[in-house]
Amino acid sequence: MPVTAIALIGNPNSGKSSLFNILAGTRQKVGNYPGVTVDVKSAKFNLKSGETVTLLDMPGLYSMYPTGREERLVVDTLLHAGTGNCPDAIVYTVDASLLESQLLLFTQLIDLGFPLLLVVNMIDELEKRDLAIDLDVLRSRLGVPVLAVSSRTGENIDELKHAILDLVEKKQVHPKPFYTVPSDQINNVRYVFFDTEVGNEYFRLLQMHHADRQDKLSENQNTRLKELQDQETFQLLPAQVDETMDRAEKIKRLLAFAIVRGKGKRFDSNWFDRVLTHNYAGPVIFAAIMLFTFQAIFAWATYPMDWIEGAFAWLSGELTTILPHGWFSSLITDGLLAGLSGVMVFIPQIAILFFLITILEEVGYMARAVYLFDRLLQRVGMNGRSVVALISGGACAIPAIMSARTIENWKERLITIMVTPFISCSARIPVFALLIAFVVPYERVWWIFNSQGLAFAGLYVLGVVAALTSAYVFKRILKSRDASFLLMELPTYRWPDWTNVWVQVRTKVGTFVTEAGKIIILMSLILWALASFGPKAKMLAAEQEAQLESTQLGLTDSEAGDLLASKKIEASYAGHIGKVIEPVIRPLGYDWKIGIALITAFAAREVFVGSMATIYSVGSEDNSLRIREQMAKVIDPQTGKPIFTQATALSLILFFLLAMQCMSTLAVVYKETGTWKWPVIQFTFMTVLAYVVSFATYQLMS
Amino acid sequence: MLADFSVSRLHQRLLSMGFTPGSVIRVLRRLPMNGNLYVEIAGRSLALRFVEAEKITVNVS
Repeated sequence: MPVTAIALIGNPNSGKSSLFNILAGTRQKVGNYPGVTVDVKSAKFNLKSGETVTLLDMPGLYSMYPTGREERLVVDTLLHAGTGNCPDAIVYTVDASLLESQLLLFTQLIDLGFPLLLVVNMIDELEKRDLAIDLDVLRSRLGVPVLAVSSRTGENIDELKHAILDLVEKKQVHPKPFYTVPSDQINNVRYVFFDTEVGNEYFRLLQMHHADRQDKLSENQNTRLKELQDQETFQLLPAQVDETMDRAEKIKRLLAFAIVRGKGKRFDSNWFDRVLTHNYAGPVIFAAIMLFTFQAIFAWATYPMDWIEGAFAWLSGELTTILPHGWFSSLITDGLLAGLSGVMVFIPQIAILFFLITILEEVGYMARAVYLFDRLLQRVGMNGRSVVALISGGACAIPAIMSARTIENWKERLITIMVTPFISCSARIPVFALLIAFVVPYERVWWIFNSQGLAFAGLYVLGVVAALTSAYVFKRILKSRDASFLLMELPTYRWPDWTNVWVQVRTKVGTFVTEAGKIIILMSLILWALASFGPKAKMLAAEQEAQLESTQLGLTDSEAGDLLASKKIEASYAGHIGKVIEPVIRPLGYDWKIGIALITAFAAREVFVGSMATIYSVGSEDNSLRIREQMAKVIDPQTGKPIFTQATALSLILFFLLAMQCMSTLAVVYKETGTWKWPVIQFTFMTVLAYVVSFATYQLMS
Repeated sequence: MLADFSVSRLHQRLLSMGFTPGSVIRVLRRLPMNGNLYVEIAGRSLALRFVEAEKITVNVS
């Protein structure tokens, strides 16, 4: 049976995704078209007739003459170029209040000869604006089925489903074009395409406009097109402008009959903006929202994180008793489960942050933040749209880097990708939490704050400063040909669509689990092997030494076990590597033990805490406080002074703040930029910077 | 009232977002020191940079 593909198309903010969510429910899948990093959501339906219908949610676009990457994908798809996903029919959504500006693309789709259904969405908001739409006028003038719905209140959704079935069945095409292609353009089209019969004239005209991006034209056709362009009888931009203006004029005339305006006052949705985008109040409110957001992560994520850690500890304990004692049991509990737990424990923080970010996006606030900070970010080579990536970086750099796709200018997008990992992500929090007590003693500041909390906030600020400064450096080095745009829509403030929020959070967390998860678990296994095995003789010697010391000191079983683990890791391959790199990290104030922990942190930063616990033999009781006590006691054999001074701890914190210690991020940067060049530069740049800053800090403070 | 704008890639983008000659533009807000503008055209709110706005010729009413 044939598969019919129906695409949902419309301008951005026309409520397209909400409509898709209602129709598709939970059966939707987010997919990537080959070769392009644009997400297209799809859902499959099996009809009673046995026919299968695929519903596609395409990225929003304004016209068939696109300027952005996502928009181009849609245009390429509609013109059959390469992707092979060209829909058989189109459901076009418009925001009822913005009919005049959102119909432009619709009239282009009419002329391309697609079977169409026009869905006037958000009909419930018309009343507030004291408007009414005469659907019959639209139907007769446009010659297509028209339906008014509200994705918010659910009004007419059943009718919509019927109308879509009707569309699938009849595939009714509009009888005559909306826009009459001028005769000189028709001549041009006939001149280029006299040898084929593909599509109608408007379709071929568009193929001529997009000839540079598509391999649809034959060699001869291309030569003839070039000829026309050289003779200046076919010029792209003026032709596009004329067409758009003609369409706009016609739409305006049509709507003069279809829209009934009431006498009431215009609904002013911009009331909020007097405050939210105010020159001075705007940034202050933004800072307050961010403060609340990150506070919420700390406050809410602790409980689920404790449960997850508890569950894994319990599972690991159970397995140790069930499985026969030996390397296999250790592989499962210390290698696999430890890695899995390291991935899972971040889900609460990441989910909460993306939940809040998605709400900010859904209500329309994020666009205002873009508007406010575009100037500042432009100065350092980024775009206002980088705001979303930079904030998301506070959860996890991986989905954050992916969200930079909305930036059309390549240089601005690249810089955003390069500097986003400087923003302190959730994996740095446990490391900072462990070390901060060595740097700042706990004190109350102005009654409500405490010194360590303030230092924490300071670290976040420092991350932002590092990101902006290095962005400026990249701006100076990189050259760019592309023009940079801001021009973007500020959508009307709306209540969030909770299905959308849910889908977004699920997708973002999913990306983290799949992209970061597999690498973290793999690294966890490798590190387990490095830490568990070593040269045979040395490992044996370490075991005997541990046993001897335990009996001499009269240690309890669990203490003896911790001591054994600590001795073994020293004799293991990981211990050897730690000792090899010691000369390199000595100037930063670290010994070989910190070296081991640093190496393990390259899998994921938070692994540092667990490694420190093992190395300082508090393994069985995973508790920051105990690790800290243990760390404070450590004496440097060379100098006879404690290793963990203020200088060492601060140097370590700064190293973690600046260094690129996340394999998963590098892998994603490779995917997004398509070359190893950028992840290599990023790794080198960040790690060298971290080294230099930590070196300077340690040397100045000690 | 929008009168004209110079031809560029920005041109096509402005057009597809509703900036057609003859439409009424309202400047709702602007950021200081030639900062971004917040305008309304055909019921749609848009943000644009000062340099982008400079390409648009308007008749003030």
